[in-house]
Amino acid sequence: MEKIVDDNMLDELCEIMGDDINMLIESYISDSKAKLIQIAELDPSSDQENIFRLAHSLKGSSRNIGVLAFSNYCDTIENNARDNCLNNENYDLEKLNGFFNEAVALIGQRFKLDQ
Amino acid sequence: MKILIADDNTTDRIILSRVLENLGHEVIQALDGALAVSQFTEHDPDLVLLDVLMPGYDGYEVAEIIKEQSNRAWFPIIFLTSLTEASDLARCIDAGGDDFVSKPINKIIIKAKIDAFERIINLYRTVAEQQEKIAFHNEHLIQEQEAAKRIFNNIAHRGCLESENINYHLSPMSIFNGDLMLAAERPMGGMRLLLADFTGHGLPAAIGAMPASEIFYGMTLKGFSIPDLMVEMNKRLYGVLPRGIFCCVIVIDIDTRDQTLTIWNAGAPDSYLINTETGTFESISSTHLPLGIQSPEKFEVLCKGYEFTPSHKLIAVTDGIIEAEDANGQMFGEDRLLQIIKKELCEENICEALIKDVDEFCGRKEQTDDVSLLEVSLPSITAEEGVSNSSQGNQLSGTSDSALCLRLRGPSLANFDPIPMVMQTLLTCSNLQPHRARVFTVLSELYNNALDHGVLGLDSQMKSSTSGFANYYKKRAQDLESLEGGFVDVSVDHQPTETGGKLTFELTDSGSGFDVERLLKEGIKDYSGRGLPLLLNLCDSIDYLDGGSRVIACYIWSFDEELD
Repeated sequence: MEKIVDDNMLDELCEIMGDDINMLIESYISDSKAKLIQIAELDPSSDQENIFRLAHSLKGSSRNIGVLAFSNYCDTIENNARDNCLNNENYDLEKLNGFFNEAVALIGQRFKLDQ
Repeated sequence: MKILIADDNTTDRIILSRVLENLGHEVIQALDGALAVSQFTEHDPDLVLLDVLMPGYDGYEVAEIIKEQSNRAWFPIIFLTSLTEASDLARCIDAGGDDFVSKPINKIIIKAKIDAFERIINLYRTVAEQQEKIAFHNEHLIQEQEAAKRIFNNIAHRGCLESENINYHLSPMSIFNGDLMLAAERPMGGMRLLLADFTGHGLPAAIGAMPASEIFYGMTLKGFSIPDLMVEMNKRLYGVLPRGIFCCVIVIDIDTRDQTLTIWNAGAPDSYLINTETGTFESISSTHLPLGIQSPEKFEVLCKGYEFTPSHKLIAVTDGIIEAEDANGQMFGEDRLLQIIKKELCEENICEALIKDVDEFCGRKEQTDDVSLLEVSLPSITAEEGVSNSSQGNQLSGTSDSALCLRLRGPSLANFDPIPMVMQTLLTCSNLQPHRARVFTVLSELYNNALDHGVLGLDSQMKSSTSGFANYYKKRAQDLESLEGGFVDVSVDHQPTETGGKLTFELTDSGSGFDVERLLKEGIKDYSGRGLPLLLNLCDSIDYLDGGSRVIACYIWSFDEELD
């Protein structure tokens, strides 16, 4: 089973950000939530270009935070969108949101965020 | 450093900003490409970090726009990318990027790259500062050179180089190539020219030009001969020039009346004496070390004399023309020079044809900067009468009532030319200035007759044949060298008259005289070699006494006389 969150990465981030770590995490979560809403509104058969962009962006920020399973699934979506071969098999929004929510729950526990 | 980060991804931007701030840098953030461009203009950052994929302008476009807009010599752009395809990374560099960093951000790699670029930025800054300094000094130097050039050109002016018997080529900045070209009318008519080439370039080469010019114009005006002039110039340059700088020189006297040319070449390339009628020519090679090398005691000038008629031309060059190089570094050379001279022999302006050929050979215009070329033919007979400054009216001055006597014996006859000294003394009477050329001619004819035909016993008929003048000149130099006895007495009496003054020249020599009776009986024709027709024309009376070894000539002058 793939790791949901990389704790070492979060440790390092804490070191970099100091007291501002909560601000970063909150910003990451709200930013990602907004993007997930946007991506849900897009039609995978006609709007692969924008899906590609959003998945690429989500993947990038999630890797920096250490949100592993979610960012890896974003990477899969990004690649398929670029190759224009998104389909019901490889594009599962429920799975995507599931990875994200699991990660948010774990991070929320660690940083005692109000969810 | 001031660093601009452009990334639409908030999380990435915040983390990267913090990493850089922790390293002590000042960070400016831009949320998209358009903002990146405006922030760049506003803040003028030292380094730019660009995300590749951004809404609006993407990273590649931003890089191109800011590179185009900036007037800085260089600033680094580093792309941030999670793209991994080689072609995507290559495009970062193509778009003007200097490096790329892969996402996710690794603070150690970021630090290493930023540090490396900071070193390069500092290097650029140092170079730019030094360039600015160099540019400043260079401009200063050019201004100084311009000022120096103006001073030089006033002193080393070109005299009568614009006369119609002369064609020449000389760069306006020639003074800094060490080339010097001077021309002056001689007091007895005709012309003196000098082409000099100081070794080296720039100011060191130019310093010798000032004393050389002053000596040239001063001594020529006073009627000194080429050997006297060269001895003096060598003496001065020997004292003035630093070690390793010397002066190659060609000096030429043209006597319009006698149609002769006297030349001395010291260290310069061959000059060419051309007969445009027969198509023949003669090379005149250097016979001496350049000026400024030999101590005055060892210095000796032996000129060569040639016939110089209206169909003759003399071409003199400095080594610039011979050493001019084409694109492959091949030199123009003496052979090519000679070929062109042969080909263009009958051209009105050989100088122009030669310069054109050098230009073509070099394939570049600037090359001719180093080329100095002088082409001279026989000047017209209108001997310049000295500029009349007799503004004092009829008020007599200086030596207007005087007499002087001088006896020159043996070695002094060989070593000393009394004419400039006597002329200088006479000309302190400023009313005599308008008569300078005529008085000079009379005195020098009388003195040369006494020395050449009297003391040395040379036959004036020698000068009438084509090669005669050269032989005559050679023999005269040899005879003078070995002269032990003999004398010439020169006396000049100057008396004021109501309308001006009367000059009486009396010259006595130790020679055996000549057939005065025959002169009186058969007319002056056979004695044309002694300049008698000219003397009779200029003087009011000429009397030969003591069998021809004594001559008394009267020259009467008046105020405000119209001279032709």
